Amino acid sequence: MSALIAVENLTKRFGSLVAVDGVSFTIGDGELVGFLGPNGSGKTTVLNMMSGLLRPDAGRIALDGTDVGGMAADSIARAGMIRMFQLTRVYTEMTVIENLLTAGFALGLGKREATERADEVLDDLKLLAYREAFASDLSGGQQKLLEFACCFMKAPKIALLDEPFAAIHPTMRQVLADYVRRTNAAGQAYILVSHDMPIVIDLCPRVVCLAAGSVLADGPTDQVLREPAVIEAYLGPNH
Amino acid sequence: MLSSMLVSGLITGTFYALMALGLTMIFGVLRIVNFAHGEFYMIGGFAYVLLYHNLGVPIAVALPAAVLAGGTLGWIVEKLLIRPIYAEFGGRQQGRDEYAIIVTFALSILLIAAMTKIVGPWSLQGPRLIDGPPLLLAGVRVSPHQIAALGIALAFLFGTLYLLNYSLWGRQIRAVAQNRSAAAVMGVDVGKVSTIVFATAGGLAALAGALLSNMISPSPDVGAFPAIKSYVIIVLGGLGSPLGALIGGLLLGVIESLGAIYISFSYRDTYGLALLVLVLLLRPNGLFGETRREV
Amino acid sequence: MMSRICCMNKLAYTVAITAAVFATAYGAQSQETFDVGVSTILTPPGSVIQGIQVRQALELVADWQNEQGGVIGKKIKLVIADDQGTTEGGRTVAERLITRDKVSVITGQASSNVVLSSLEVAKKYGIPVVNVNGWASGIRTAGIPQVFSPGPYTTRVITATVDTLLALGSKKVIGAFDNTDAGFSLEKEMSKQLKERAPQIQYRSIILDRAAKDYLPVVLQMQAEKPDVIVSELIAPAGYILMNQLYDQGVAPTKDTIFFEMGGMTDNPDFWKNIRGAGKGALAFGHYHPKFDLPAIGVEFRKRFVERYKAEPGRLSFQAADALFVIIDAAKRANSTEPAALTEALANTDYVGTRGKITFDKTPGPTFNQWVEVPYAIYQITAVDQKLDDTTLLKQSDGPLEVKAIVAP
Ligand SMILES: Nc1ncnc2c1ncn2[C@@H]1O[C@H](COP(=O)(O)OP(=O)(O)OP(=O)(O)O)[C@@H](O)[C@H]1O
Ligand SMILES: [Mg+2]
Repeated sequence: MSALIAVENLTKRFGSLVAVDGVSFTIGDGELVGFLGPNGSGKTTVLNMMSGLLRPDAGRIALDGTDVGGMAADSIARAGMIRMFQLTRVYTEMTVIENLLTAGFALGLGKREATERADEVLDDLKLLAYREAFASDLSGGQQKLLEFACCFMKAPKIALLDEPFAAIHPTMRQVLADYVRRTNAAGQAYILVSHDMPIVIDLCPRVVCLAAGSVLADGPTDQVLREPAVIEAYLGPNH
Repeated sequence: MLSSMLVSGLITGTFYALMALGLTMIFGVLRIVNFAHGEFYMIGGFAYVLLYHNLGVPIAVALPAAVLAGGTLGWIVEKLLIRPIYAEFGGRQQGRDEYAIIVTFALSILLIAAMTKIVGPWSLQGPRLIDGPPLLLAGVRVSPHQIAALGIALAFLFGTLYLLNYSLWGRQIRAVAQNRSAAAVMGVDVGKVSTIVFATAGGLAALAGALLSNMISPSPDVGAFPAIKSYVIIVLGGLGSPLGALIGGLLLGVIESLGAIYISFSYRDTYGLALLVLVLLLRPNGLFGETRREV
Repeated sequence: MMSRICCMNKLAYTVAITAAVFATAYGAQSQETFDVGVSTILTPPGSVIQGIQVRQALELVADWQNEQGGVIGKKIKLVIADDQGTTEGGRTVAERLITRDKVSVITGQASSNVVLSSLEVAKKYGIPVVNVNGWASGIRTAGIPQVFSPGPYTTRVITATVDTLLALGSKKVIGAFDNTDAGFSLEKEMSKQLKERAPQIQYRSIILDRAAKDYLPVVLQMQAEKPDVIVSELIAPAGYILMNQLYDQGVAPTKDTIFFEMGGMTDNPDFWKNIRGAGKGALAFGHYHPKFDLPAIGVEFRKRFVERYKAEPGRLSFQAADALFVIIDAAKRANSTEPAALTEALANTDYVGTRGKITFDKTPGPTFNQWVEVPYAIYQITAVDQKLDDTTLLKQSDGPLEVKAIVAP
């Protein structure tokens, strides 16, 4: 049986800097995997390559057995690997519902379907009150929730979340975490990049830890977090 | 006199806006300036005139056919020439702007040369949409043809703006214009959006060429003038802003009209540029331009 | 925008250079040719329709002469180059024709700015230039001995116009000119002559941008002023737009306002493809009319032109033909195709061309090296799609104006 995601020997260089250096991992159906690693360790770059925004210098990315390395970003998204950015990217010149309908239409939903689904997701994420508001009038946290909502207009095979919990209000953080937990229980697969240790420990049964572009550790969360190399990478050698 | 000038300026401005709208949409979605935009106008004018004069096609067919010709040309150009610009991962590769400039320049020259080969350097006046005695509008005689042309132009202008704002594809276009990579990552088919935008822009420019062919006879080089006006307008209105194209077009029409009378006609083309400099000093991103641009 | 223009120029040059290389390679086979440089408008921004007319006439005359054995035993070879009707184009084309193509003489120029920009080049290399259609006074007042003008010139055109205005008894006149060398020259002369010869006429002139595509503001202003006559010097395509807008606004030609087309565009091959009702009733100025009494060579030229091009020749066709005939005549008399000998022979021209006897005035000033008596016609167009033949000839050169023959539209 092939894994949902199979990444092999993924490499990306920026000039002389090797940002991602031979990264390999696999993710099975319905898995929720945390991505850890200090700043600059290459987490976002891995996600950029997986979502088609950067062309890998070497390596393979397979989604459900098909090679998606080199495919255009929009095709990858429609193939079921959807991505949320570290810095929020919602369409500020559109209303909340328009943002969602745009995403829904892009993923092939009809207008009615999309509207129904949008209301459902808005309700789940406690944004229904802002349905007609312009995205530019939302708070940073609300915008993040909106972008998150857009990713779920049509359930993806896997969602790649880059720091969804950073810089958002604790109540919203809770809403988001609950949503992830609930959908994961129902079989939704995730990669969750986060520096927020308590949440990662709480949500993710398994983590991959990157350092300087390479996989330092990969396994059950409690085990990985106890590895000396991981602690050193995170807290510095003098700890 | 003032009201006549306003009427005259608004009429001209409407056609300017029709040209500029497509150009600004292309810029919005692809971040390139289409230097062959005037040639879409020229193709539309010639399609309309030649179908009518040489093939005896009725006006009611020739006009839509001209729009279709411009649209088809836009579609082909996007697929063949513009695709390589963004085919590579969100289009961040080196030399992208240079490529776009060279390709659209070359296309412009090619189309002018091809048309000169086909029809010769002559100019050929287009038929009126309808005939009839002129009406007096604030001291300006407006022929039924001009009213019809104006009506069609306005319908297409506002129709396009409406579709951009409220249709599903319109939203996809705006999404790509606001943030191409975010839209792509969300699954928006950026290739298809670009094709639609190029075809729409081609159709709108061709429509302007056909509607104006009675006032300005198409000749192979006729596209230079509307193109130059629309470059001024899209910078004036804010690059990539459809509303800016509309307001900018009307504003340019009125300013030129007033300047021609109250200052001097021999400098007519410079009033737009003067206005542009003024606006850019006060609002560096144009009237409706975004103050911040995603990198 | 600048780069757009500059790119187009570059392309045109490249094409012209390629064409010239071909022409040179081809011509190198036969040693004995009389190389005549032709600088004319083949691509915009100049009036291409003028360039085409010039080129057609020159090719006809060259072939005709070559049929008869050429000139002093040499075949005439036209080396044609595109000056685009621009000042830079004129200068570079002249320079190239002389230094690279080694032509003995240059002709074909269809616009004043091109002739003006080639003056210094002609003088520097001592190569004669026979100007086809440069009207501006500056071409003559520069006093360059190598430059000859058998075509129209500002003082004659304006004298004819002012004569006409006086004969019409006009009281209020507006003159429209384009922002070119010819336009400025005519505008200046018109103001001067009206002040001297007809101070009773209330006159105002306007300079219009020849690249503009909409003259409505000016047309509305003219409408408010209610002139008796609107004189326009604009050439195609700007002239077409102005005429149509004047007509659409009901300004001219009407029973109250005469439209006088002074730029000489009513016999353009595409005139009726761009002008409908606006043409009916217009008075027109030209340097040829089928009702002229043409010398034998003119009759023959017209016949050959119609045979070859299936169209009536216009005034520019005659102007161009005369330019080349004058060159041929000079070469024969000098028994040489050397530039210096040609220049000397040209100065002593006394030759019956297509429309009359051509000589060049030696008085310094606005008629220097000019065919002073160059014929002209003033005629009225009385119907849409009218052939030049059927227009009403109102005045032939210095004859009287048949005011009674004018009909209100
Ligand atoms: N487009 C780029 N050009 C050059 N260098 C880049 C580019 N993108 C990322 N880098 C570099 O690659 C390395 C990895 O960056 P990346 O953003 O993937 O790290 P990260 O793990 O996501 O960090 P953070 O936790 O701060 O988000 C860093 O050194 C970064 O400076
Ligand atoms: Mg990151």
